[in-house]
Amino acid sequence: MSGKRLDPVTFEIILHKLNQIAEEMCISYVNCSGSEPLVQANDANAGITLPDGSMVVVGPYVIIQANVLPLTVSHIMKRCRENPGIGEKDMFICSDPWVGPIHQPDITTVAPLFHEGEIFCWTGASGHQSDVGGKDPGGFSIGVVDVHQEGLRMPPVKLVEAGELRQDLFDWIVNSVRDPLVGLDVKGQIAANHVGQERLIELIGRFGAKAVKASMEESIRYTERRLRRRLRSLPDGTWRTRQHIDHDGHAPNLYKMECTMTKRGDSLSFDYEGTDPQVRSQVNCTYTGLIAGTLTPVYIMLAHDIPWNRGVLNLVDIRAPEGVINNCTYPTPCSMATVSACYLTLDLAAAAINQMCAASPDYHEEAMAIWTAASVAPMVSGTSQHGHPFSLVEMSHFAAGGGALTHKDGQDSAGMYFTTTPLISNIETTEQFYPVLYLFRRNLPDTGGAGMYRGGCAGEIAFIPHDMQKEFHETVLIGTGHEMPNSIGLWGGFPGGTGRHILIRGSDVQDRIAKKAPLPAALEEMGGEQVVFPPKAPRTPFYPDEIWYSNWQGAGGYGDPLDRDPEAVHADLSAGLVTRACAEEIYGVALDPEGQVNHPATSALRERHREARRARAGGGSARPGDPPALAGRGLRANEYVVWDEANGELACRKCGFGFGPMDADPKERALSEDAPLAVGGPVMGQLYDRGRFVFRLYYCPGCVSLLECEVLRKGDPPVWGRLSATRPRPGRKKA
Amino acid sequence: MAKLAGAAKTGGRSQAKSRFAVGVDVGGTFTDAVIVDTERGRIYQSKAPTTPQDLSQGVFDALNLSEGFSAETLLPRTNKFAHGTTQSTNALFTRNGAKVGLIATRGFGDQILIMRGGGRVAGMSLPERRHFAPTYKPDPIVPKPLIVEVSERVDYKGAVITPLDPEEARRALEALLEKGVEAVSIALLWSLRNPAHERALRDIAAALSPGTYVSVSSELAPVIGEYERTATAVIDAYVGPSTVDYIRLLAERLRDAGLRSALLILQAGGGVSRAEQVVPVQTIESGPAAGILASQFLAEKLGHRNVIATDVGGTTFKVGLIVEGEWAYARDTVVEKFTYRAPMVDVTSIGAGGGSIAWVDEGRLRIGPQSAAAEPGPACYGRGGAAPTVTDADVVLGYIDPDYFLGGRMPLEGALAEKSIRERIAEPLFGGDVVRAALGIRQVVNAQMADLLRKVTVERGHDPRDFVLMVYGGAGPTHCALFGPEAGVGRAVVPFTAPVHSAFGAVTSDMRVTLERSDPLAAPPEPGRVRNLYRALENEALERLKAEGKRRGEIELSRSASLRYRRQMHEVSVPVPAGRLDGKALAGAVEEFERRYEARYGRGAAYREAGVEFIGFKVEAVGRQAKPRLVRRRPKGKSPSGALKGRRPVCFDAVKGYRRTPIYEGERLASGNLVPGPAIIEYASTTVVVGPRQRAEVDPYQNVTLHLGGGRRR
Repeated sequence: MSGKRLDPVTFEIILHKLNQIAEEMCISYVNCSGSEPLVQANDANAGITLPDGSMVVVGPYVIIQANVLPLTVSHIMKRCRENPGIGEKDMFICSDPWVGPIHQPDITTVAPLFHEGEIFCWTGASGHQSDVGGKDPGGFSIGVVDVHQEGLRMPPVKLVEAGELRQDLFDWIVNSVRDPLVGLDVKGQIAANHVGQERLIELIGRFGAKAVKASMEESIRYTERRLRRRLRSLPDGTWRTRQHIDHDGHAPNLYKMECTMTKRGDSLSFDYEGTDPQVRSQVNCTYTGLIAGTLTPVYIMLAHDIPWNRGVLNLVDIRAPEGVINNCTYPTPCSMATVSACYLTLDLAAAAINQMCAASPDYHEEAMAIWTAASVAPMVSGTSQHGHPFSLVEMSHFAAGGGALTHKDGQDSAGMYFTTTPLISNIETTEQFYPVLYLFRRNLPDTGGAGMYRGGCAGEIAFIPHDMQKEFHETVLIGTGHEMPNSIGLWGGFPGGTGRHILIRGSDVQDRIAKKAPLPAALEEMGGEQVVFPPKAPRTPFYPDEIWYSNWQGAGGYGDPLDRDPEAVHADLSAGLVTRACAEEIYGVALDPEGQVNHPATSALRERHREARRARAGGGSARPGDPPALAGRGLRANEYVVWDEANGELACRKCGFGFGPMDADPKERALSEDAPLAVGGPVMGQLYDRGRFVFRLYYCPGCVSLLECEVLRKGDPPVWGRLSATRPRPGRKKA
Repeated sequence: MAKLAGAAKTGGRSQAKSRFAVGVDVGGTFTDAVIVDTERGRIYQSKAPTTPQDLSQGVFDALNLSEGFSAETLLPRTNKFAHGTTQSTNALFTRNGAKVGLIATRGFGDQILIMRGGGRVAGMSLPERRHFAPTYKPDPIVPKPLIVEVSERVDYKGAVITPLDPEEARRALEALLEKGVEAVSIALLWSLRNPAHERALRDIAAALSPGTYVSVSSELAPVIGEYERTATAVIDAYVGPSTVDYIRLLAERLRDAGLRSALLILQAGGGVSRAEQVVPVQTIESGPAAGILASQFLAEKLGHRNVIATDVGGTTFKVGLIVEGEWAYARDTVVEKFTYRAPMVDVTSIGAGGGSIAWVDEGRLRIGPQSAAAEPGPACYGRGGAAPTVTDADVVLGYIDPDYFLGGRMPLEGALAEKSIRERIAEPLFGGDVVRAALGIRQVVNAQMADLLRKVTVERGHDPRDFVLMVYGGAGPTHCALFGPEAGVGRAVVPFTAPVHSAFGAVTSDMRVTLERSDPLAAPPEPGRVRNLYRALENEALERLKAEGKRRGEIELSRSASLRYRRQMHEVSVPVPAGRLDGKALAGAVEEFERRYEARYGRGAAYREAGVEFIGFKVEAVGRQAKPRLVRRRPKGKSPSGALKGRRPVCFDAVKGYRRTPIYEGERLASGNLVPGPAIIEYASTTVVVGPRQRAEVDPYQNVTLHLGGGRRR
């Protein structure tokens, strides 16, 4: 604790208060907003920064959004001090992705709080608006080639001057968008800042400006100290991860993104060298998305019990070459950053951190596979049943699957990874506001990545136009991960299922309504013609006899599916989360005619699966396994590989097979086979298959356990898979 | 058993024959009774062990234990009998409810499982939500095989898109009944707009299986939002059969024993309802609500505006806040991560109490959340419980006199307490030092309690130093000397009703009916439609209260409406005037909405261009009940020597060990007495520990105020 006057109790109360103020700002903003992503899915955040923009507290909602604020504030401090000036009760609004926001729809409003004539701190709120003009409704413009086609891009401009809203500016914003209720959102951001500043003034009145400022600054130092300690207690090493974007909005072009994470002592760096160059389409993200995407899993995995503030960024080195997909330059479009480059940056960083945690005896239980790895959403616009223009961003995919942990299943409909407060809309609420009628929303079986512990399932939705004022609505599609999965599993766990967008044309749904007959309640019941749409598609008319169907990605699994408890597979079967076919083919669980597990037959079936693996697989080392007496001993590097102290090498935890020295890549001695993605389940890119990907499975040559599976673009080298540069440290206390 | 020294009068007229008001509260460990003699102005209290096999037995035990009373002599002379039950709460928390089936709209049966994607962290604090790895959704109350979908669909206007096929409906219900469900919940899309299909299913269920308990979402919560409405129906069905059976049995037994007035059941929303009108889902967490009511009643008497009400029972530690004299409804009703729609007084709890079991977890001393509950109870109960509990530690350290537990009615076996702590805790962790082990148990459990106090105050933006603790429940006064200062609170009031506080809250409660209906209407709404809505709600509320014996003149009605800007989700509640509503009155409500909106969110936040909508219409009907009037006693001087009953060795810290400490008889302490710590004040039903450097002060109502050291002088 710095300074004698700041006693620990006061410090703790002020810290809690600051967090509570940020949460109240979030709640106020969402309460005042009229945008579907905000009011139904909390796609917003708020926070407080120091005068220079250093983050002090992040609110509880979408973590990516809060990282917008520091960059916006520091830009304003550099650019606006002289002209137009920064005065008391001013507020600045901004939607420029080269300043702070991740993409244009994430409009942000920040406000300086003055104390005795000086800027004391800044408050800010940021959130996803229902429209920002541009080529397509809903904020994501598809098939664009430069940022000017993507709509309103405001540098920081003074929206509120000395407490007065600038009506001309406000009208200009409302004029620039299709949905006038964006005005309600802008006012909501003002309200959030009002509420935050009111509370801060109370706090200063109560504890004094000195104590509040000292607490803000101390909290950043405190975070640094705690995070340094935590990093030191984790194994050193280098980890590499890879992701793909399967469509750029123009065509199904493929892009690769890579991350190399290096951890030494108390430093942590993420380098995205190897990522493809930026694209003339909306999939990129700017520097702001690079930072926000990388920090999100650092907060969640390494700092859950440490205040989230500037102290984290101070310890983390983030770099990407200028001009790559996740560090794009003007005028490259980036409206779909949050669905593509920024989100996959998050997945890349998360996967690397998870591998590091899994290799630590103390953090093993914190590690998890990738959660639903990208957004998949249809967005409908037109005229509502109440006569108003609308654009509906359908947010059901925020009921995302949770990645499997090293010791338990991921959660079904766990909520999006990037928010601490996930929520989706009730069907009734959406139907009350928007002219659509849902046919179903449910869990989709076999989409949770298979594994010893299963990833959380994805869901599927379908809806039709309802109570229309015009001949048709229009639909824009956003998504990533339809041809190949992004929700990668951990140590033998399969990836979660892929996304799909399907338009059913010429269905008989209106006839059924006319005849008061039951409506179709499954994809198979819909009749008509099923048109498979790419993950990203520009506006398409949506007629009354048509049905939109979408499902989002599931989450990754953990460990070899053949090691899953057969009774857990049975429980999934009766809960409708796994089908009988997958139970047998992927999990090797034999069921008797009554649907109960037949244990002897299951053992036999699993043995046959293992024999088949060995027969199919090639490569690897022919060296026979070491004495099985070693099995299960040594420090765990991951589920299947341990550091065998006695022989000074990596070995299979189950059978003792030796994989070579500590810095070896176990894949080099492993057996491997290239299988079609479809072996991962029935929703694994089949509808989008262009023969471009393989599923590469690595097995232990000794016991044929599935060590790892990779989603590889054909012809690409495997992901470098050394476990860590130093052996895991025994008995280091969890910090 | 012991009557309380505190005297009381009630505001009600005394009746020659029926002159008693009785409150009984069944907790996890004890069943408490409060008897108010409205004629003589006295309050009696008693306590009996809860009888989990047949809860109504404990109710009678408590009545029979009251000094000078037996159930047979008391009940015929009772004109108010208010009862708080944990039947439903326990069923939900211990997952011991009925086997429930759910009928849902085809395509939407999974909504109760998806939980709006928020079930993993619903109701959790921010620090808990930030730690993803250990978060999980609750096990479903209705597993997937017991969710049956029927082809039917209603749209947002209430128009039938697909009619319900009665034949399919019958098959669906038969399928559930064949699987052995004990209760059926029915929750269809848009049933708030058009309940016909739900009612048809309800009638078919009644015809197929008249004895099966049925919960209908549109009857329980006719508000927009299918997940929460479905959860309300499912939870009601889950706790319904056992709650209804229990209340019916108790009502019968009370009637047989001579009770002529209605059995009133306390609800979580802070009011009572007649037994036959009870909605089981609304009784969940009613006990804590009663404690808050009693705390508010006493705090007002004592002039405390900000109170942290804490209830330490055998199994749980519950905390509620009274801020500026008012308790609040919970923002969302979330129990066990299920969000449902029922009014509920805001109370937070953790599993920590006198019965919490101490155990060793790889070298760490852990307390709870498992509890020895009433059966077998702590080791010192001598009922076969071998696990050491917090109460056992209190006995070993000398805080609780084993021969004077429950005023000597239930002697404890100190040797068993010592043995279990020695074997299970002291030997593995403290080198066999039983005293250190017992002090350790106390420290850990008190730290848990202090953490919760900080959580409900600091995390909601309050400073605990601005609050006074109200400490009740059997084990609260034994522990607040430690957890109070640790949380930064300077003063604690042990109310004279401490051991039976919830039962006292039941006696002080009013009849309360809150009815709400969603009907989204763009402003300005058609006045006739709004008049009809309120008329229907008010008629129903009046009817219910009249059925509960209230005359029209005794009922206070208030109307409110929730308004918002178009497409917002958050509504602002505004009062709606009584009497005939015209366009002007409704325009006034819109103006009031914008005024409150700007007051909350700042000038300029209003945005009339967006359009304003009326969403919910609410009527609250309160039938006031006579309140006990407390009599102030004149001060009798500072010296407590008249109540000194002796000294015994008590241990406050490991270094100083046991020291001979004065023991006072609480009932004999007089108004104005000051007790310097360390000291023990023994009541028949609880023990107040006054720590070293603390002092206790007796007020004119016989409440004990502890000055804990620290906190903020106001």
